[in-house]
Amino acid sequence: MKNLLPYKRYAFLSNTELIKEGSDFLQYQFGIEPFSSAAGYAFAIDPKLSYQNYQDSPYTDFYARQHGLVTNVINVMKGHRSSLGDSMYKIDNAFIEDLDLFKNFKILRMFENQKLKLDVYIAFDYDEEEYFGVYKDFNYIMKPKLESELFFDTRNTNRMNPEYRLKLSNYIYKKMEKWFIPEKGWYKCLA
Amino acid sequence: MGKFFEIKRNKQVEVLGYNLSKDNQPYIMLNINEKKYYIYNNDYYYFKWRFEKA
Repeated sequence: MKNLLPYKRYAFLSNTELIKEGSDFLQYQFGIEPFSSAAGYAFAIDPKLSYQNYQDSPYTDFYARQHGLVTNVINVMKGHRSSLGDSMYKIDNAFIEDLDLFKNFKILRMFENQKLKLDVYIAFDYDEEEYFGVYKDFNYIMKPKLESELFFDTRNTNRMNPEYRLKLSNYIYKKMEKWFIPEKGWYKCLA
Repeated sequence: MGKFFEIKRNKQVEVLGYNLSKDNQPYIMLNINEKKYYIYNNDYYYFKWRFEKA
């Protein structure tokens, strides 16, 4: 009685190493995807059976190869999409569309902050409404980011995603950088 | 650091050019009374506030 083992009706099934249809079966049957396996880890497969075969394999006929070719092309496209953040595939660019709505850029104040760099306070019109913004540490080594109430306006939160904000920030920064450069010639002191 | 130099109101100065320093910081070259002066750092950004094209 001491060595009574719990009765398991199908214990023999779980003890054997089964090839499960859900996960391993396809791998053994058709070979694993050519892209995912590192060198030395791939299975020896019959390339004629594999629907994920290399598209340039001479061992499979043309029609069988098409599937692999299309799969690989789709994988490449997916990779590109993720790395480019879908920007290539967007038909419309919200920032470019809105470019004409930004007008009347003004520098309101410039202050020297505790880092001895400049905080530049600006104002601009967007869709005929005036908004304020600031570039903190304007002349710091790192390029400053625009902070503006425009981005917190509930009407714009969906439209002005981080990509839009970055573009606007750089757009105004470039404008200001150009404005600060004086032309050659004679100037009169105002102060 | 350079020296402080005072300019009176309505005094005219000639801007010879603009360039970037070794640290990639912009500066302006000025000609005042046949002497060359350079405006660096934060003063560079204040130049257009304090001077008007003559």
